[in-house]
Amino acid sequence: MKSKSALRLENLDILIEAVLQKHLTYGPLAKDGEYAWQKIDPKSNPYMGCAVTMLPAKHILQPVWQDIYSFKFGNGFQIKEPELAEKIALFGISPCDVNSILALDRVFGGRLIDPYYWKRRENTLIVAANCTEVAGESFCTSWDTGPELYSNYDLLITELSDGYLLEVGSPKGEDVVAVLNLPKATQDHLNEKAVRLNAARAATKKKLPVAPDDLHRFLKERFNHPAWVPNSDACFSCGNCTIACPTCYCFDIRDEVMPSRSIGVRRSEWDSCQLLEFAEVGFHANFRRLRIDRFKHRTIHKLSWMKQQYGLTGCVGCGRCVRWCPSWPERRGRITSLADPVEIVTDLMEPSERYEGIERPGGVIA
Amino acid sequence: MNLKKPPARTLDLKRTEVKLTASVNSNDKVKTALFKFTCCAGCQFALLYFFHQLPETLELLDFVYFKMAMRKELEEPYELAFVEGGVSTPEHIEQLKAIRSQAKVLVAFGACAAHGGIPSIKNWQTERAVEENVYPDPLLVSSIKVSPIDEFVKVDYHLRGCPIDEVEFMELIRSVAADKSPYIRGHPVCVECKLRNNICILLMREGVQEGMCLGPVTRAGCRAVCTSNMRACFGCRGPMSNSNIPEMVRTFMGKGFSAKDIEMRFTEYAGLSAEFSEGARAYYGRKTPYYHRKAA
Ligand code: SF4
Ligand code: SF4
Ligand code: SF4
Ligand code: SF4
Ligand code: SF4
Repeated sequence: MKSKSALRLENLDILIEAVLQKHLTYGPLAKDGEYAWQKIDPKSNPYMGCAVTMLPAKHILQPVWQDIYSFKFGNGFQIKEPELAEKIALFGISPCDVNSILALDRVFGGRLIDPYYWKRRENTLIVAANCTEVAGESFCTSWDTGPELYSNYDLLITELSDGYLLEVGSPKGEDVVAVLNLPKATQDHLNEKAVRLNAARAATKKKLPVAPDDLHRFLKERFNHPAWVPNSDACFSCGNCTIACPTCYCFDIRDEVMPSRSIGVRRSEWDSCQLLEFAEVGFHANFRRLRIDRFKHRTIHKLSWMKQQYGLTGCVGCGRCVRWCPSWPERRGRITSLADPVEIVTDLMEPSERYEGIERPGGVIA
Repeated sequence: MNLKKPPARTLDLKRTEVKLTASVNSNDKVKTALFKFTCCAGCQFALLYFFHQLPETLELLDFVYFKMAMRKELEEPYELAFVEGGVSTPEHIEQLKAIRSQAKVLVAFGACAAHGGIPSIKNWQTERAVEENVYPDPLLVSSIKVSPIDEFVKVDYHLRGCPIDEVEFMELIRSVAADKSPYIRGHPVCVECKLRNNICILLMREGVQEGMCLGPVTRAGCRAVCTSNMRACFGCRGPMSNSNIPEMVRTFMGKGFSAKDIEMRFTEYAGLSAEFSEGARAYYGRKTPYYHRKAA
């Protein structure tokens, strides 16, 4: 990105207004005491820190429910696709979430292209915000997907002691800020940014105990480790960990036909590999009938297989699965989130013998 | 006290009835009968609400028997039978078997037919105690324990929930009309809850009754209507396809809920299902329900 320039911003409102001019803008807003990605207006107050929102911003690019097309029989077969020309802005998206979008780009724009995703993606302005503080659940520093974003943004905000530093990363971003006539940032501002982000990095205690490059080998070797058993025993197969994950991309497609039987819609809905029905095929055959297989699948797909498939990590360390998993079993004397990748990996590092004699009901409950 | 009177609701029953009778002659509609056993009839009532929003129902179904909406007596033959309510007298069993022999497709209509529902809470006490509670002279009544209808007859589809869900109902009748199997969700309420961008009550409302959410083990299909309105799921749709009951009990215990709380939550609607009765008994060992049924 060549057109990098750094500017000073007194308050966010003028930037929000400038973005709102031409974009349908979403940001992390408070909802029921937490944060959720919602549409913002000039009066709203998007959170610029490390918001472990309920759903990640992926639901704006790949909606939970999507009408792929409507169809009509009679006079041949006609289909009508939705128009997706609207310009979107993601305001205050955190570095890990930008990285998750890069992973989704590989999935929906690789060998096979999802035109609906891409139309939205091309029309999306990314106004990212560096995290000057990292949430307790997050471990982005393990992947270097945060708290600082290095590229792939249109605009990048960093909170300083007085006001904000605004970096421009693309001509698209340039267009938005050109009218604002913002003053240039000084070297002092850039230094303060570095200090603040280094402090955030240093304060992040949560870390994957295995180096990212080594995870593939590590998990392969421990595919039959006994620690998977008590882990999956505590799992509800509820899908929260994948639905809340910013890099999970699985969806299901179903046709809804009206009673006249000549019109209908083809609709997609997010799906999750944690659900029993996910891998079910004809005659009720199921590739992952056992809970333990599904639990393993999600963990390994996030931590290793997605990297093998698409070249980018399938976990960005956002901490959403940690936050939203309803199951909190006791591990090593502490109450922990079952879905937490750091805890699962730590369990797998224990010698197998440690799990001998630990008996919990089920084990391979379907 | 200064209570505000709620605005009066108008339900245009007359309009519904006119439409129902108007549809009798059509022959490519599915002839349908709706029967009621032990329940509050709330699911039938919900259906009347659907009609107002979805005249489409009447394009598909031709009701030959529907006590709450039409004056007509039962008229055979019919192809589709909705059975509302559980079985709680010996006569019910005979009637139910007669319905099964007539209907091509038999649908358990609502939580009471599918799992026993709220009436089934009586199964956890002796029949005598229940009768003495309700009737001045228990010797005059002969009721039996409540059971879901598939205790006695084969049920083709279950419309679960208290009351049934509109979208699932439409999916079912469209599918029956098109002679294909409907999409009935097997996954837990959590899926529909999280898809709606809700906060998790179970995690955020620690230690209070409102936080006692059965969503992780309860079958979806209700569009998570309770949790979307900040109420815990009561499990009215019964167990999901592979619910992890021991973990649900452990989770509730960990949050400080008492054995009594847990028993009450599990027995409220679907305590007769094998799964939920396991949850009810987990920490309250002595009691067992009247019988133990395999999951539907
Ligand atoms: S696996 Fe968990 S921490 Fe990693 S990206 Fe997904 S939700 Fe975030
Ligand atoms: S973890 Fe499961 S839901 Fe997520 S992308 Fe992988 S297979 Fe899909
Ligand atoms: S790991 Fe947690 S969030 Fe994921 S399916 Fe299991 S219980 Fe649900
Ligand atoms: S509120 Fe209940 S249904 Fe919703 S995610 Fe939490 S546990 Fe599941
Ligand atoms: S959220 Fe639970 S209690 Fe509420 S309708 Fe759904 S299944 Fe029933």
